[in-house]
Amino acid sequence: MNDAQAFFRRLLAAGLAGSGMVTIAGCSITSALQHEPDHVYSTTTPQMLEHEAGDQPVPVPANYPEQAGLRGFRNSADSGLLTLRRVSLQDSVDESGDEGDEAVVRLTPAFRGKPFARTPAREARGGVRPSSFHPAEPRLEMSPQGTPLQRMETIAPSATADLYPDEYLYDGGDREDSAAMHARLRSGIESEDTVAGYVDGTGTAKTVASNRVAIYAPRFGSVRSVTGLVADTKIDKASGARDAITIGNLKTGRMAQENIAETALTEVENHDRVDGIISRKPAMQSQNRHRPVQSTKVDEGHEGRVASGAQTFNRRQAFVLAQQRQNAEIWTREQFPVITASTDSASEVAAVFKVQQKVGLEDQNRGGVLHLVKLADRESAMIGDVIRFTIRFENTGDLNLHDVRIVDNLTPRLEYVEGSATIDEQHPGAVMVEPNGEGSSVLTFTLDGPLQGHKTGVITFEARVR
Amino acid sequence: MKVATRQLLSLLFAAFAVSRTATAQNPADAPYYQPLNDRLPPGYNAEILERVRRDDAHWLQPVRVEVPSTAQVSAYSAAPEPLLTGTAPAQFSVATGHLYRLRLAEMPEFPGLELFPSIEILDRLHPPEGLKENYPIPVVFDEADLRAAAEGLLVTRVIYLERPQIAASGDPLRSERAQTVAPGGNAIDLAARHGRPMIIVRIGGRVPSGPDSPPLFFGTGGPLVAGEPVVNDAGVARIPRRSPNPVASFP
Repeated sequence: MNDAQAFFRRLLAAGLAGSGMVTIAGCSITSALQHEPDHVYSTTTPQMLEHEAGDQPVPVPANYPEQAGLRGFRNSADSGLLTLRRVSLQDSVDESGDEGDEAVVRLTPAFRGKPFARTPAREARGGVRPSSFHPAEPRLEMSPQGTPLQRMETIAPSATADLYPDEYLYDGGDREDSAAMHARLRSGIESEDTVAGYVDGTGTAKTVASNRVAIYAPRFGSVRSVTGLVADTKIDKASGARDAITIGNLKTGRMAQENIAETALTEVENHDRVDGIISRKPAMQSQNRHRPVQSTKVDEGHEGRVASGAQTFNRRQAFVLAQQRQNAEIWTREQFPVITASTDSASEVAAVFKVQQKVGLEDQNRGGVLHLVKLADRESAMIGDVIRFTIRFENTGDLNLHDVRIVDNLTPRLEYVEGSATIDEQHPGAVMVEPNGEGSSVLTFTLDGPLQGHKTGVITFEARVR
Repeated sequence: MKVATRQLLSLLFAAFAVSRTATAQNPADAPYYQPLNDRLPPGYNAEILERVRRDDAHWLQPVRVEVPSTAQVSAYSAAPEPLLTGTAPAQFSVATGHLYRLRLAEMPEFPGLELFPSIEILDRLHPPEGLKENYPIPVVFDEADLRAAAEGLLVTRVIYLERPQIAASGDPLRSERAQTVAPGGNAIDLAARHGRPMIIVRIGGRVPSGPDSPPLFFGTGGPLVAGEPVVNDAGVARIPRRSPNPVASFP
């Protein structure tokens, strides 16, 4: 082995090692370290929105008269919507019979939600609900005018939620494609999204998204492989195929050698008609032979340089002839004096100013803006646990909002608990439950009337972790 | 002149070979190159990931061993004597980047059968503070795994953390959706498409050859501690800490 070969071997080994490290570092398994969070993180109780006295929302449980067909059905007599029946708060508390449970959602001092009912699966495991957990409210980033800005925020029990999102269940916000709701059309609403569509006082249709809620609930799967006594035997194609990949990639046909691709070793007969017409393709038509020995690139480069020289010679000749002809024209031209005369006419502008009066009324009310806040009653969950979600909607403007619809597309790991939807009695509406095509449900809450300025409503529902 | 030309050609060939090595897979079949493979020697994948990521060495990841009914579970770490012995389902904590050996015995479904599976810890979880012991990585052996191992086959399970956005409606781990790769396929590659590979479990017919067994058979020497009390899940048992005479726990 001479020095050149030894140098080449060292260079090849170093290149292979470096390429391998770069590839490993760039694979999907280690990409989480380079992830940058794109949401605001919050765990503590932040500022609260101001509510007027007497406007505190009071939730009432939804009563579905047709429980059997709740998921995915439409009530034809009511344009596909289910109307929620108003039930007093006292009725719901008495039905649960579990007022001693400490896991009551406390949004505001005057708000009291339906007590959480333990699931049988959780009771069987002897699980204990965290007694001191109160859901955090997102901080509302305020504008200089004092109105909350529409910005997606994440409520998570740990600051690593954005770094390792695969360990969490998310609900709320607008995940990837921007959601849009206009009239009865909606687009870009994916799983996990919680958005609202409405029409403001100017008749403009708008769409807003809520904050995100992250719940720690990792779930695992496995891929199984069974190997017998004869190892390294791979039979996964019908016939006639063989993969051969070497370090130098010598058999892929990318090196300077003859590459033969034979796609049909024998005659191919196709029977594609009932009457028995047979079309035959001989083997010779299916063979492609590429011979890179011709070295066409080197020949083309040489020809290009020759052509470039010829063009330079031609342009110079043309330039000399043109200059000579121009000189000849100047020598034979006769000079004549030219006299130019022009007349400027005077003009007069007459303007008459009339006294006018403009009468109007300036509306100093701020336009209505809908703000959505989403909360969950727990920060971690296991399979079988039931999570109670709360969506608080508020018109932070002065003018009314019309056609308010709130859509929550659940992630596949959340199963809507039938009959668990509630809405406060001041804002009656309807809820429609449909399959979202990913194994879960999409909930659409529609308010019956307009949402007045500075009014707040609350929607709650429960979902089981799968 | 000839020597210089030959060196130049060698340099060009080396650059070409290196550039092709990273994408040696068929681009039409694999959008990215997966350097890990479950058919590599035990401990190899975890060591590679540990060198790249350099996780916190003091973090110990809880794992939970589950069997169809019950079994005696022992855990080894680079020594022929078990560090922990308990009854399944059993929970203990291990370190990422290491290989550990287990021993399953006293299974009612397989009287007299004794298996020595290995677990290779690839990655860890990042739970909120105080919830570490509540979310162990489950190491599940179903009856088909145990039966295949008893018949002399090698069963490899790559346990992955599922991506919630593409999750199935059912539990993919506990026999609701079987995912099996073809012989010769890369189970880590398929697991990475569904989530984040966490643990490679290998269970076959290998048994220690006695006191002279190589230490590497029992693992790479990572730390191994017993599990903390489990609050949320009553179905997980604790493994007692190492006894003064751990060998006495064997039948």
